[in-house]
Order: sequence, then structure tokens, then C-alpha cells
Amino acid sequence: MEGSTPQRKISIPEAIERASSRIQGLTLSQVDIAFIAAFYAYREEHTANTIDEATINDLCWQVCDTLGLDYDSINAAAMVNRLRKGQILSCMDSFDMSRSDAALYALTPMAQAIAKSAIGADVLTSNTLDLILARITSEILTILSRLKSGLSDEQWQNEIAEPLNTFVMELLGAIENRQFAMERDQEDLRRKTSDALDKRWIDAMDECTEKIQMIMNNLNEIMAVYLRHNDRVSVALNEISQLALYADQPLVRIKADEIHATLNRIVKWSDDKLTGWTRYYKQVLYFMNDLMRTDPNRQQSKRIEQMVHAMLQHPCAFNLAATRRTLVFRDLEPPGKRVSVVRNLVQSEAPLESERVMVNRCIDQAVERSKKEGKVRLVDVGRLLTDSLPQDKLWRGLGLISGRLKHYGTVTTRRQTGWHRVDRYDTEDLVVTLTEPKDKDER
Amino acid sequence: MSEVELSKEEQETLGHKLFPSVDLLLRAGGHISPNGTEEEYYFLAGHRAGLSSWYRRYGYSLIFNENAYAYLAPQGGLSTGSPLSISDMVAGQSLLVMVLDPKCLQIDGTYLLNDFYLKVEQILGEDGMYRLVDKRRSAVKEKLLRQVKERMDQSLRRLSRLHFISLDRKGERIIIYRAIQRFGEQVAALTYDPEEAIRQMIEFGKLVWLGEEPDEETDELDEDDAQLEGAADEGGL
Repeated sequence: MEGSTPQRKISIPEAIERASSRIQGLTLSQVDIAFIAAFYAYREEHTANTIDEATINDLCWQVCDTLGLDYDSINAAAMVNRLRKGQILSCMDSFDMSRSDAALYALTPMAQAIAKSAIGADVLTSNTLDLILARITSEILTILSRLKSGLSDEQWQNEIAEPLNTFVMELLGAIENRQFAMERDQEDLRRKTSDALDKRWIDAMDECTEKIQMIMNNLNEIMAVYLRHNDRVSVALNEISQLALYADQPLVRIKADEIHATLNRIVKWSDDKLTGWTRYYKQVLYFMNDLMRTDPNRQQSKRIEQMVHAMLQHPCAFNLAATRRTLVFRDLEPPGKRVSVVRNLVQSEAPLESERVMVNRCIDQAVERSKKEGKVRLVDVGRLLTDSLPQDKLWRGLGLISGRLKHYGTVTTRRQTGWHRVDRYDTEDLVVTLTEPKDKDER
Repeated sequence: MSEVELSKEEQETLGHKLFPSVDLLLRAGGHISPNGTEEEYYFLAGHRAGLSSWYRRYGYSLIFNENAYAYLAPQGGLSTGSPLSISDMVAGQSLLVMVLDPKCLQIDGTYLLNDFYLKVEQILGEDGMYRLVDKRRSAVKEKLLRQVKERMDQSLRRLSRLHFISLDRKGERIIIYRAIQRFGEQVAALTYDPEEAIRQMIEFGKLVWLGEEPDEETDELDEDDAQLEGAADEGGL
């Protein structure tokens, strides 16, 4: 099936490589594009594919004249040379054959595409669209009729794959080009509408509404044309795809599906444009009817600015509703007098001892025991505490010991301090030599 | 407890599935526009009578501006109100000025945040900005601009909660709803004096004072003080 292979899709790296090797050093200035457009218009007017150097000079004069440029500034010979190298112009001989040293010039397909795009030659109207879609429908139905009689591989290639690949796809491409041109026209109209309203305010309203309405009508008609053709073409393409599947012609099937997808994309574009333009139309109508008509002398902006400054001098603002509370719809009664809930402390309930109080009590006990010896060991106090304090308060309690002991005497430490285990903690073996307490109240 | 009879219109309105959300929005000072809160707006348009009589019981007046917006205005009774700040008013008025520019028709109905800051700066001018942030003229301009911007950011958030506008997810663009037209109510009259308009709006209950009016003499004294301070800094005193 190699012979029936339709042109496969080009990959991104391949596209980059081909484009950079085929077209080199192409930079187009405003003047270049104007010249290409002028050449294209001349070609259409005189039904001539080629022009000579004298005509090129004449076109260059016209470009300069229209754009207000000095002829000498553009250097026509250099421009033509540059455009030739960039594959915008090709040289032809008198037999219309391409020859690099020939004296006649033609626009390359790329230049023609640029010119068409630049001057908006491809206009999408309901008539042009109807014509193109009718041709696509007719071609696809013809292809479908060929399929029903049973085909050889060669016939699949020549009678099915090729027409789908070239004719149908090119026609769809023509629609997409026109859509692109239409998009630019719409953008242009939006800009012009804003400018006209800005400059002429209410006087520009009717004219702008009319133009916007025209585009709206055109989009509606275009959508109707799509809807009229789309079903028929879609059904035929599905049938081609199915038959290609049964005949084991996967590439034809892929092509049919691709055409179907392109057609759907085109229809969706139209639908999106219609929706977008409808929104824009509403926005313009709102602007004109609600903002412009109530402000015929265009004073409002200026007055608002004055009001801003007046409000800064005399601060005031809108008072807005501010409650989320759901009000119960019933008679409102004043709330009764609130009575505080209090009770006296019962005698049997001793206040909870804090760690500090417990530490003090344990130290006092240890001091009592050690009075005979004349000194208190920190480890002993620690051990007393482990019996008195709960586990969760022990750590904090141990930390308070040394501070408290200072009140009983002088804290000394041996050169080689011993460490003793108290519960889960290691405690330094400090010794307090007892003296008279500094302040008994603190105890 | 005394029985309350609801009118047929009120029963229909209160039983509608959209009533709770519309009710919460309106009670919180929210504005309902045909763009942004379209469904709620058309519910409100279709149940105006029921809603009006319902809110009248609380002391609210339902204001319905054809094609533009609706909101509740507290009129005393059980109704409570909360005023916008002066920064909120400046932000709302600046946004309306942007909407009134035909250039807005070139864009898709969203406005760049940066364009808004520039518009505020342009409308207020340096004097207005100093007044807005309550600073003396001696303050550094960069600091002043930063403070104005911070205030405007706060106000945009508040105006967004009140459905005058909404901010896109990135917080770079502002979508302005028709309710913003309310900030133009004060200038609707053809012959117009700003201070007289403010007095009338306050008299009709459409605006409230935000505290005492600044005394012109005090302002002059402030400027004098600033000059004296400047002179002292330079060693003049």
C-alpha cells in the first residue's frame, strides 16, 4: 500500500528544518509588503503573471507616493534583489519558465498569500462560503459514488486519496483563510467604532450600529450556510471512513477523519464568532443606550471627577444594607434580666496545689529532716518530690528546687559532682549548707 | 406570638429556590446586575413586588434600576446599614469613568488593574492623593502612591464582595458590572454643582456623612505647620 500513502503530516522539527533551509534571510518591511500588495493588484488588474523592470519601477513610485516616502530612500534595485533571495519574487523568461537571469518577475505563491492576507482579498461572505461548500459536497459525494463499485489499490490512491488530500483540503484551507481575514476585519471595526464614538460621540451612533449589525447579519448567514451543508458532508465523510476501514485502507480513513475534524473546527469557529460578536453587539448597545443617550453632552466623566474631589473635601458615601442575620418574623420581646451563675466554695474542696507550693512543701520537709546534719542534699529533695508530684508535673517541679533552696543557705558543689537517678531524671548532687532563711514569708 | 399573613406574591417569592441566595446578597449590601448575577437579576425583576413588600417590613427599600442594578437601601426601622469608605467611593467612581470611555469597547469587558491605578492617580492628582491618605504634603511621593494603591486594593476587594465588580483569578483584571453606574447617580442632573449635589443626596438619604467635615482653616494650619517643620529641619528656626 505504499503507493496509496497520502502525504503524511510533517513533524515540528522537520517543518523548522525545511523552512530554514528553503527560505533564508527573509525580512519584510512595511515598504516591501506595500510593494507586494501593489504587484498583486497590478497582476489582477492586467491579468498578467509577470512584470518587467519598468513596471517594477512604476510600482515603487506609486508605493512611495502613497506612503509619502522619498523614492531614492527605498533603492528599488536592492529591494527587488532582496525579495528574490527571500523567494518573494521569482525571475521568469519569455516562455514563463523560471530562470535566475531572466528579466521578468512574478510573485511566488508565498508572496501571493502575503498579498491576499495584507489586502484582505479573501472575503468570507455567505455567497462565497456557499459556493465553496457546494463544491466540497459535490466532490465528496463523487468520491463516495466511486467507492461503492469496489476499487483496486491504485484506484484508492488516484480516485479517493488524492482528491481528498488536495482538492477538498485546499477548499477547506480557502475557507480558513477567509475566516482569518474576517477576524481581522472585525478587530478593525471594533477599533474604528471606539474611535468614532470617542471623536463624535452621539453623532457616530447610527453609523456604528449599522456596521456592527452588518457583521452580525453576515455571521448569521454564514452559520446558516454551514448548517445547511454540514450534515450532508459529515454523513458522506463518515461513510467514506467506514468503507476505507472495511477495505483495509487506513490512510484514507485517517484523511477522511481529518477532513471531518477540519470541517468541525471551521463550523465551531463560526459559532464562536457569532457568540462573541453577539456579546460585543450587546455591549455596544448597552454603551450607546444606557451610557451615551443619558449623557448627550458627554459631561458625566468630568462631573464624576469633580464629585471625587468634592467628596474628599466633604467625606460622604453610600449607606449599604449590612446584615446577614436572618430576622425571625415575630413580635420582638426584650430579653429578660440576666442572672449570673455563682456558688460558694465548699469547705471540703481544697484548692489545687500548684507545683511551686508542692516544691516548697517538699523542701521544707527535707530541711526538717536534715537539720541535725546541718546541710540539705538536692537529691533528697528530688526524691521527696517524686513521691508527691504527679508525673506530668515532675519535670517542672524539679526545675524549681534550686531556686527555692537559696532561701535556706549557701549552695555548694563538689569539684567532681556526682549525678543521681531521680525517677526518670539525672539530678546533680548539690549540697546546701543551712543558714537562717532570708525571708520566712517567701517560704 | 401574633400571626403574620404573607401576601400571595410574598409566598411565591420566599418559596423560590433563588430567594435565599438573593436575600443574603441583598442584606449584605450586595448589588445585583444583569451581567455577573444574571439569574438573580431576572428572578428579582420577576418578583419585584413580593420582594419590595417583604423588605419593607424590615425597613429596607428595594431599589431597582431598569437594565442596570438592584440593591437594598436601609430606611430606618429594623434595617441596619454600613457606609462605604471614602476610598471605596473613589474606587467606584474611577471605575465608572473607565467604563464611560468608548475605548472600553475595544476590549472584552475586562480592565487591567494597572490601568485602574493610573486612572485613580489621574483623577485624584497629587493633592487628592494626599487628602485621601490623610498625609501632609511633605510625605515622600513613592510612599504616598503605595498607600493609595493599598487603599484601592482594599476597596476593590470590598466592591467585589458587594458585586460591583469581580477580579479574575490572578487578580490582574477587573470585570465591571452594571451596578457600577450607581456611582454616577450623584451627577445625573444636567445643571450641576458638586457640593450642592452632595447636600441634596444626603438630604434624600442617598449618601451619609462619614464623620465631621474637614475644616478649611485646619487644613491651612496643617500646611503652615508643615512649612514650619520644614524650616526647622533646615535649621531655619
